[in-house]
Amino acid sequence: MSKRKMENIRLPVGECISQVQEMLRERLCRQKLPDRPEGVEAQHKHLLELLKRTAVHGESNSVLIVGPRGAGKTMLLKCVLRDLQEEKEAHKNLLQVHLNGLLQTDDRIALKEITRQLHLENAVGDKVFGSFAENLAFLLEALKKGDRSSSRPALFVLDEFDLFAHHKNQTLLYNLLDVSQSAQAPIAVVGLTCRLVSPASAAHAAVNAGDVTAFSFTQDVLELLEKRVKSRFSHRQIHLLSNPTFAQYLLRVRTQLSLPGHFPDGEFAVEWNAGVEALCEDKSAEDALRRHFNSSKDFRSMHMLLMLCLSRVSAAKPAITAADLLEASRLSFADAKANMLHGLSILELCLVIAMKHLNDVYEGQPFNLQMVHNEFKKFLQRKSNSMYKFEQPVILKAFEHLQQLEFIRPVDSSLAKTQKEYQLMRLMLDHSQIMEALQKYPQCPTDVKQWAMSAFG
Amino acid sequence: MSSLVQHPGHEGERLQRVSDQLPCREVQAGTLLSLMGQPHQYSYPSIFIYGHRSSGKSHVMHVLLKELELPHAPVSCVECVSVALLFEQVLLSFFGADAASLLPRSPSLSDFVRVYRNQCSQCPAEQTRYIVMEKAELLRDAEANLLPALLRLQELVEDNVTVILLSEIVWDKFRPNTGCFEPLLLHFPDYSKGELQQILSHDRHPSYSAEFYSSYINILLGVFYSVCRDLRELRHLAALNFSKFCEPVVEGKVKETDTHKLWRNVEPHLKKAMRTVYLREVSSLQWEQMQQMEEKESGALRGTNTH
Repeated sequence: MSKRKMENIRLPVGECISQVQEMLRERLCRQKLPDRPEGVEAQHKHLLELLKRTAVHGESNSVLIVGPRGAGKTMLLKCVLRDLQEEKEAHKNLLQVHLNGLLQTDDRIALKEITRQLHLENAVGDKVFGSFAENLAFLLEALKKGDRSSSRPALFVLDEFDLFAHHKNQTLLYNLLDVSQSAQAPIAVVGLTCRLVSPASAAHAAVNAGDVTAFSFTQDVLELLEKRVKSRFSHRQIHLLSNPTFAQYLLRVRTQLSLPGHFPDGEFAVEWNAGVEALCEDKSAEDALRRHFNSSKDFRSMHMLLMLCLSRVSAAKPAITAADLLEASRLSFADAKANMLHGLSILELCLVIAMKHLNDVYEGQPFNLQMVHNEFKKFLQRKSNSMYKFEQPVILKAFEHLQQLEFIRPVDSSLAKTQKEYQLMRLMLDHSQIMEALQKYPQCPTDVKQWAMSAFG
Repeated sequence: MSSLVQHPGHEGERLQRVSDQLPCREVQAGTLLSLMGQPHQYSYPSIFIYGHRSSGKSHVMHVLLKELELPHAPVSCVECVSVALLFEQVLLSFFGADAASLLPRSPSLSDFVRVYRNQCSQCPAEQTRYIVMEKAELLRDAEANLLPALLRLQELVEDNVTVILLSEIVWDKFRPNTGCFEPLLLHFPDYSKGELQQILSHDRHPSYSAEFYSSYINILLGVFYSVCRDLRELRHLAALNFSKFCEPVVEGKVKETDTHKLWRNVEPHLKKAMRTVYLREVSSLQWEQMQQMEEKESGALRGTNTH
């Protein structure tokens, strides 16, 4: 911290806003680490202790960090690693290898990556190893400290842990966990995963939704592991199943938006923070935030919402207002399919209505173009408007456009077997979506609307 | 929402040029610009832009990135049949041909990220780099890990890069089963009839007045709007059929302002176009040849009722 007294610097508004944008974007887009992670102090302490034991005392460990997407697993790990670096011994000793299940899609690639991250390409050279285990043992051997008495401790971080369980024979997992159990070399294996509940037990979890404890979650990711791998895993888990209350959520929003004390223009920062506080207390803003809270409580969706608000801040309007939040909320909750339905031509809309009628009458049985056309013709006959009298090929083109937009999908994917007009399709829109879209459709002719609402086509 | 011509970090003149090239899309361009922020600031790791065909998604992106001279890698998922082509294209656009040649024979995502990180440690990004992927729905058919990795590319390569996906399919159909990093969703609404009229009138022929062309577009929309609202198709049809519309004026039979007679002349022709050229039953070349033959015929059979 600068020892200089904070002078009363005043920067022009444009410059202030630029600084605000930069700072807040670092937080919201780049997921900058907070000084102290909120709400996860116990987990932070647990993980830090564990890793310290490996780094400083040479104890091997394995742990799994489990939590839904956007819960803050990576954030927690990074905070712990940052705090660990402050321990001098840990900083000197600990080697880190970061693997990601999305990138290292098989064990061969993973091994190459480990070699690279440990800077042992030269040591390995052109050696050919008999097995994965040999290779890994060689690498760990090469990490021995100067006096050859003990290996340097190594930390292996496995992001998207569940994807590693899909590799052939789970070789990487087996070998790493094997090393962590035996006394070969001090390593810590930290896995991060979002696989909490298997689809089968999703219903089970839904029943227990209000009362979530670590026990009622089937550890699906462990079920993915082979028996020999599972037995070598320490079964230590850190859960990030935080269930914040709305008050805590509001507090988080406020902290994310507030400017820190070391902002160059002190007065501006104070004004800005006051504005943020007023925003959180505003009734309409609170309602919007409550809607978001009810739909998802994780960090990421909050960050997305705040990012949309932030993008509306400019030198001309140097504060986030409730209107910004409402607009951002509206954008977040916009129904994408409804938006796309708005852009259909009248003919395509009529076809969709015809399909809806077919679905109503035949209870969701698949249809083909010919059936839809016949249904449409029934409407045309009744109304005697030649305005919509189009020839079959034009109707087919409209039908194909709907298929391209994936509003309708073929029942089976065998493309060339049947003629286009007779291929069976299903409608991927539901009744209420179509009716809502009709309400919003620009200059929708009344007879089309009436046709849609009538019960029997 | 700040107006398009005032954004910090970009010159007003350039923004004016952008605004001129994007009629009826000022709001969307403004939203995009404010999300992108100043060039040196970070932006959201991935943005998903969806909207109908010809609603201006690619056009707006390319105009913005070109005029404001932001570093970008345009990728068409149709062309990038294999991921290797995709990786090469990105590395080529950001770091040059040497970097692209560093990729091994059939590169995996791991290789790509590794090469990118190495290159980026040598030339870190001073401005946000954008990867614009068109027809992004084809990414769903590629390897299962490609889409989730691209969505969090910023985090994986630790660089100031943003991936922008353009598609006409809604995001719900993209989401993988186990979830992924959710991109920011942005919708490009369809053009209204008035907006279509405005944009199509930009193509006016220099030797005729703007009102004359406007009345032509009005007639064209009257015939085609209930069937097709795709800007590109309408522009194509407008260009093909304009000569037929002008025919009576050229022959001196009708004045420019006599819209009713002009309508009577061209409307059956447009209806015929709907059955043929619109459906691509005949190519535009054949259509023009047909038109010329008709003119010759009507010239030869003077006095006989042809239609």
